[in-house]
Amino acid sequence: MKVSHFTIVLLLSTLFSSTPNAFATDKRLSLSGSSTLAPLVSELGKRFESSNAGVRVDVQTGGSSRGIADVRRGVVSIGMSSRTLHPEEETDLQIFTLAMDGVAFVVHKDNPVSNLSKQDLLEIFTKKKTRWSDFGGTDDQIVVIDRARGRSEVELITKYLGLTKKELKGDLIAGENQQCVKIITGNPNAIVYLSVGTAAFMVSQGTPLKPLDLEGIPATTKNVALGTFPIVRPLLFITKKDENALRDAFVSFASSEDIHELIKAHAFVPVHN
Amino acid sequence: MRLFPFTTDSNVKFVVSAFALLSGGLLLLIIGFLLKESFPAIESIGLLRFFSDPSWNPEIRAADGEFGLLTMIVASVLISGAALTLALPLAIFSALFLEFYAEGLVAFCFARLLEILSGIPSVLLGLWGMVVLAPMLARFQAPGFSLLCAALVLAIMIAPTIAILVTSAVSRAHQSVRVEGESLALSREVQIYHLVLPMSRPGIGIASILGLTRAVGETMVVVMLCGNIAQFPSSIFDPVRPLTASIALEMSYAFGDHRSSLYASGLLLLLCVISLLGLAQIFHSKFKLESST
Repeated sequence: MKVSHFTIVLLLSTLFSSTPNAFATDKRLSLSGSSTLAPLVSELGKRFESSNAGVRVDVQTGGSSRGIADVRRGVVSIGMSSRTLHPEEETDLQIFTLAMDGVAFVVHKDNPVSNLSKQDLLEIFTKKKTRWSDFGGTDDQIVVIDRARGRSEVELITKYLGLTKKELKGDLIAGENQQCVKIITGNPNAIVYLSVGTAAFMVSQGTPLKPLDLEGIPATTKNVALGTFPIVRPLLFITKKDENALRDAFVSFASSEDIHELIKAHAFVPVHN
Repeated sequence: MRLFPFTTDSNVKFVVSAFALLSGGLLLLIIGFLLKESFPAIESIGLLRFFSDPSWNPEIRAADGEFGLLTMIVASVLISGAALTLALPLAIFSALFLEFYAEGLVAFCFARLLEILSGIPSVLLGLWGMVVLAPMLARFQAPGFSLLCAALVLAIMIAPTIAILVTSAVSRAHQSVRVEGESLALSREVQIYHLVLPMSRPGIGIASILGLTRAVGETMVVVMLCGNIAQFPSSIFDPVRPLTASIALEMSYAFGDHRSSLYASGLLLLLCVISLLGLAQIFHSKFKLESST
């Protein structure tokens, strides 16, 4: 058989011109975004798949900004975001609040300190006081862990403490939640700020973390739900404003009463619509 | 039907050049993409500010933030330089051991060991550094995650690759002087020190530069271990933030000019790696010259 140049060109062009979308059927739902939301949404996806035969739900992380950007470009149907949208992003998108979460200050379980005030945290995170003994702890240096710029936790705690991002002085900067968890686990003198839900979930898995009381208010899911915990944020689904039956089915599935137990099991607070 | 359809030369030429163009085109595509994505930052921040801003405090709008990359360039140079300094003696001694002192089963096992070491996924090394090495270093000097921590693990990562490349250079040199060396009854250490090592210098140079390129471009290990603080370090125990770590750390959450400035740092990183490869090319042609004379 003689293979003509034309055939090869045709073969190559079909190989490289087809986008991933061309392979996807309309029975496939893809989501991307916040790593805080991903574990919950993956389980939601599995439940949705088992009650809707032939549907596949793909969940990818990559951060809230990626989720929002992916939705706008049409790469995914739903973006997961743990921050509110920037005004530039809001124009063409729809927002659904899936759950509420808080941001807690977290230390190692062996750290004797269990409560810090706003003033204490201000002094720790600006390095005015650098030893745990100043706050009733051991005579060790405090290792302050800051978070990657652009994360919603950074926006929330700078707003709460009344600081600019430039005034935050960390010894380390961590990105993903799991990186913080690993650092705290290995260092009894470290302090980090972290999703209340993630911290509570890790504690329930046996990880040696301790969310600190803030001004005497325990950093628990219950206090986030009651609205007494001072640092809270919404966990969002972001979609386009167009028509998409499968996507809308998943969004209403995720916000139905049946799912509240699952949301609570992930230590987030369900929203009553 | 023939077993292999592309048998006439013109067909083979077409296929070969199509794939060659494709791989060359990919690099151009990547550079084009980086240029396109970093253009908004270059336009609104300006090239000068990447070097004149005192530090890295990115914001969505260029006017609100600081976008200095100097601390990161210095960190990239220091970390990869330190990693190479630690890895090179290990690599050279391993190569000499393998070529001159190891025999039979020991040589076979050691060679395989180097190959396996060079293939360990960097994320595993990073995890080990995070859970074991950093807490250990933190006992001497908090916070543990530091220039030293990242450089140590990077050295472990690049040493086997450099060792394999140096071994082939050393072995080539040894083959070419073996007869002369033995007929002059030169001792093994004289052969190594006065003949083989000087002759392998260009090969060791190329191996070092390839190792350095890998160290400069490595991301996973570095973002997990360097501490990610954008500062000029005053000691090896200070956290630093190289270019790769900065991109990996913030890209997921960045937006607007912040995002675009990360692409610009990617462009800078690519330029660094390209100039290192250029250096390797110079070494390589020097090597060719020396071996032909």
